Amino acid sequence: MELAAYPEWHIDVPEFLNIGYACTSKHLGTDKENSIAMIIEDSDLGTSEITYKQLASQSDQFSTFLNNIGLEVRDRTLICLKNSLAYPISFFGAIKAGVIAVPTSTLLSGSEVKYLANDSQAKAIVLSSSMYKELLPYIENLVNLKHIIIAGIDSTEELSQPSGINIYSLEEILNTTERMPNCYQSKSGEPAYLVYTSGTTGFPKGVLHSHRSLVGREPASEYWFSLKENERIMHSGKFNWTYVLGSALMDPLYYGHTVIAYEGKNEPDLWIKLIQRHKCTIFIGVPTIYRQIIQKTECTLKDAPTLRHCMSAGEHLSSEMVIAWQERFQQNIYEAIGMSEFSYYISHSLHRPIRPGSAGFVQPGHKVKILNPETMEEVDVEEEGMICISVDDPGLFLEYWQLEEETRKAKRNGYFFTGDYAKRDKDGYIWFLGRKDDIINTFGYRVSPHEIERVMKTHELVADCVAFGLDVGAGKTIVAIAIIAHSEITDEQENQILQYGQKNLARYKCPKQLYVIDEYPKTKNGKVLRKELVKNIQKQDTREDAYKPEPYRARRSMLFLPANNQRYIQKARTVLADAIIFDMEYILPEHKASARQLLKDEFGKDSSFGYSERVLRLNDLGTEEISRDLELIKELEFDSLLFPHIETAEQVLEAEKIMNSLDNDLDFMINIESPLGVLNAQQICAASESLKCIIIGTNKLANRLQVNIKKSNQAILGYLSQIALAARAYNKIVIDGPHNDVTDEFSCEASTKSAFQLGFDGKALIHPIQIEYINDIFTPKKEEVEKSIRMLGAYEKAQKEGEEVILFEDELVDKYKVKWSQRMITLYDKYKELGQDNFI
Amino acid sequence: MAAIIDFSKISDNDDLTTVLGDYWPGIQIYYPPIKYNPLDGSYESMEQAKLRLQKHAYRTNAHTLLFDLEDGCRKKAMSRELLIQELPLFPERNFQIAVRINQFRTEEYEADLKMLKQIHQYIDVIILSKAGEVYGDAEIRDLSSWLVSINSDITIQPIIEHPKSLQIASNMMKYSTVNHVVFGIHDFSKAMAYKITPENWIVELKTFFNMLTMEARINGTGVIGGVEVMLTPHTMPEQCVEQKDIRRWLDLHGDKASRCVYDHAKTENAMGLTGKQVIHPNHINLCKVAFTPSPKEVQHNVSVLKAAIEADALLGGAIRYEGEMLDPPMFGKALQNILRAYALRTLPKTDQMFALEVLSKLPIHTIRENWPYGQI
Repeated sequence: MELAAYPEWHIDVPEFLNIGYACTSKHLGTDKENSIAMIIEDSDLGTSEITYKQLASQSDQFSTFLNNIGLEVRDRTLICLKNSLAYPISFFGAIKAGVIAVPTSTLLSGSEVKYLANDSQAKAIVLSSSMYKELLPYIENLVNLKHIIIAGIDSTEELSQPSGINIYSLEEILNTTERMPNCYQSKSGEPAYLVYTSGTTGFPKGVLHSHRSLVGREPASEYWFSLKENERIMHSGKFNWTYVLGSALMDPLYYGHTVIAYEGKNEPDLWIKLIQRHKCTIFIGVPTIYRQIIQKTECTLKDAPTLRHCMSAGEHLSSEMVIAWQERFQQNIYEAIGMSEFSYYISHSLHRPIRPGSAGFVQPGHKVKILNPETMEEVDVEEEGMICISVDDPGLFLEYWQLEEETRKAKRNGYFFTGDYAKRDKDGYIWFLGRKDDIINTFGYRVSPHEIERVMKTHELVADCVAFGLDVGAGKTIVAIAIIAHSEITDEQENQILQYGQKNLARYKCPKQLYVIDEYPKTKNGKVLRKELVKNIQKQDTREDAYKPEPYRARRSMLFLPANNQRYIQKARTVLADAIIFDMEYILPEHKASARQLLKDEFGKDSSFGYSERVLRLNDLGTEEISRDLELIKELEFDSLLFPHIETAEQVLEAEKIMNSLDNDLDFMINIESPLGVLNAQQICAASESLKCIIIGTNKLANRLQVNIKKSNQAILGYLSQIALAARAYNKIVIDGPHNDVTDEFSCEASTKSAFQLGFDGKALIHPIQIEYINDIFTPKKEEVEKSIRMLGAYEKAQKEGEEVILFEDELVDKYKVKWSQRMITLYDKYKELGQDNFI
Repeated sequence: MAAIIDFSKISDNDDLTTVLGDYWPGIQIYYPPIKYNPLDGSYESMEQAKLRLQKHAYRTNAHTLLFDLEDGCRKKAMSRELLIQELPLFPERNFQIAVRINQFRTEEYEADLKMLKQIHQYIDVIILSKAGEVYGDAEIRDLSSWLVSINSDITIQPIIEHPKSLQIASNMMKYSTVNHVVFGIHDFSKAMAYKITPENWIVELKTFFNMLTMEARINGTGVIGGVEVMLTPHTMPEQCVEQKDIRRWLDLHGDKASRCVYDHAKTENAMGLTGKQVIHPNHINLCKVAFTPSPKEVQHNVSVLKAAIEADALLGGAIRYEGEMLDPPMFGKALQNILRAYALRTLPKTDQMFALEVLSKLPIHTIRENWPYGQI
């Protein structure tokens, strides 16, 4: 088949461009002015709509408001909203003010939102009213965040007021802010919005786009959307996803069409009903939605007669589904692929026949090549290479947010290296092979999971399939698949599926192992998390030699607080200590009963203390008070129990007996705080395998030794190392005791440093002022971690060449050093996940 | 004698320049208009230079953005063209824009002046290299009178980078266009044949520093300190402003060079300098916090002065405050620290009004002693 080349397309980038203006106010004075820009169908709130004129005016008001509260050009605003009219108002309003809009999924957890707010150093956040209460504890302590704008409420009067942060109602803003045009005259290369995508280290990384990305997507209007006059475009996604942000918000409004979006529960027949109700002409969905419509409804084109064009992106659409849709709806689904860095740039279009399984063509106007990343030469037909995009392409992102090194690595030699591998057939169709990370390296063969999935999905019993590499021994990886079946399947049917693979795929490509699962772990946007899936499968694997990841709890800072002090307990909900120790022992006997009641009340209100571990420090063994404490444990949700004044192995065994008698999965901790305890440290640590953690009561120990450690812990260093040695010998976590002089920062820092140098895992403390330094010192430093990553790469390479010890930069590396480095990386990732230290 | 200006009538909307002088040059970051890429041995294109400018220069966190047309600039004509095209497009800013022009009466100097004529309204300061080395202080006189004809708001910061210039520094400071002078330590030490070291130059040049700061104080002129050459691999986060955070960052995250740069900046601050030039963005925050009193320090100084006013001891007597005996010189230092925060743009409005209240209680000679930068 001879296919003519697509005609030339030149993307004209103006010197000045503002996305906020181009998608709203540009239509003022044209025949689009009074057309509907957006309709929102909310399953709870009903239908609402906005015209271009209203949207232009309200986004101007929002822009003015941001300026009034002190936001400046290039400051950041998080937009964490459900699909609602508030979305375009605040998104375009922020961009009009020159402020960088940061779309944030509403499905993120509090700590994830906190991470993004921290990373982007946003000064303001716009959020839906229903999320305010839930998110507030996570975002109120952020250094940069000064303003919270809440959509969906008339006033903020009844909300709890955080200290140091101003809160506003979006409705009030729109009622009171002056109505006048307000748009920052941005150059088209200036930043406009920042989207987050999953990073290589498992943390989201920001992808910064400029205003020119809007015109950079112009070819898609013809070569994917195929836009005509007055389109009514329905999208099944949420605006915060890059793909939806472009295809359902910016692009349709740029051309003056009407967008219909939905908020509420997803039902299979919902979309067809909505298309019918709103006379939609274009439908954009993800493969899951198409699958639902085909598999769970009987709908046909008769039910959606206005529909003339269907589009899909986000993940690969199976050929089976394309064919089924053609049969039912007598039309094609035009698929596109894209990425956070470049939106959709390869797609099927009306201009070429669809070849199922392929990703289509590069849209004209884009300079995209398939290169061999090592030689930088273009690969031949049917040869595998990496998709590379010219850095001049206006649709390309500007940079990874504050990750200069990563940007430099991705953008070099005039190209952006997407990391996606593909090949081109003789007719010019692109066949997507996947990310390099996803490609399975099995016994020297490199296999694309997409190819395997494409074949396996055509088996009648398979509803969905994900292929991956499964490690079965040192350096041995086999191809495995995790399938979702249409209905329950037998062992025999499992074998049939595997045989089907053997029949239809090359020997090295066919799956050797099959797992049937109910659902895949997915990102908030519905993409399958392949690494997570492999991890889950390994975890559930019952084979003896299967890899079992060891859970790790951060215990850098463990804050003691008297259990009878309500103010401290309430404050503890917002502090950033890794553990909170509710101390029942160190309070006066007459306060113990009321302390238990207080804990019941406070845990009754809310038993969560953020990510902090909840530790109950019990009364002494053998006392009446401890049995009352144990009653409390049955009622309240703690994570660990701490037994004070442990001096002998017998006491450990007695405590262990208590732990075993409790029907809870609690961690077992003890205090060593006397000279006898130090002398018996080895027996104490050896006595129980279930004993997890030793916390040293340094102040009590110093008292008993009659030494003063107020200025320096020099006098007890020997004893600390003795305990650390015993703890390490028996694989226990060991924590230094608190520094009691809260006014003397210097000596607290010095004692923390010596604990760190002795190899302690963390330090106890008695005042939140001490947390930052303590968390910081016990957290591996970024530079060290980066070096470790480089070192592991070099070691792995050397090992393949048969070397056991290598010289890396300035040090000798052997397997012990490798283990140490791996630990550094794990700890760093773990602590970074907690997202609390601004220096990380 | 009481102050001439009726401070009680000044509101927080008024321009305080008359009383307190202009904002200080603070941390001046050298910005190469056209950058050289050593990796591929080429200079960036005009388009690339514009994009870099928008990205880095628009939102610098330094107090002064210093475009270098002299030593560090090879593509001089292209650099001037960039400034002509781009400076008018700069968004609203809260930092000064300075241009380091070429040596007096050279061809490049004349070309620089032509450029200045076109875009003078977007420039606050001209930094004159090798000031006075050939024609003495007449260079300043000549440039000043030229400036009067195009824009009298622009000031000149002569760079003292030769013993000859140091000798006539006092004369150069006499011109009303000169509010601050720069000590160009590297050229100066070269001219003196001193072998200074990156770690210890501040001690090695102490004598000349002292000569310059003394002349400057007499003339009510500020001094801008030396450029560090050590590369600091890490950036201190902006939220580090209090001593405790700075110490933690330097201790646990900073490198030896960062600690050294910070120590130098601290010393220069202690010597009363009004600014410091830096050549790497990583130096900005380090030097900024070393120069700027932290919010806690300002609050402490405000409380000291409040206690002095309360005890009616501002002009005479002593008070006991948090374990110290404090008298008028100490109050003067507290006031200086508050005004330093003002000059480096970090003093909150309420504290600005309080500072004026304190000034209104002082005789004019005491104001001049404590703060010679205003026009009273």
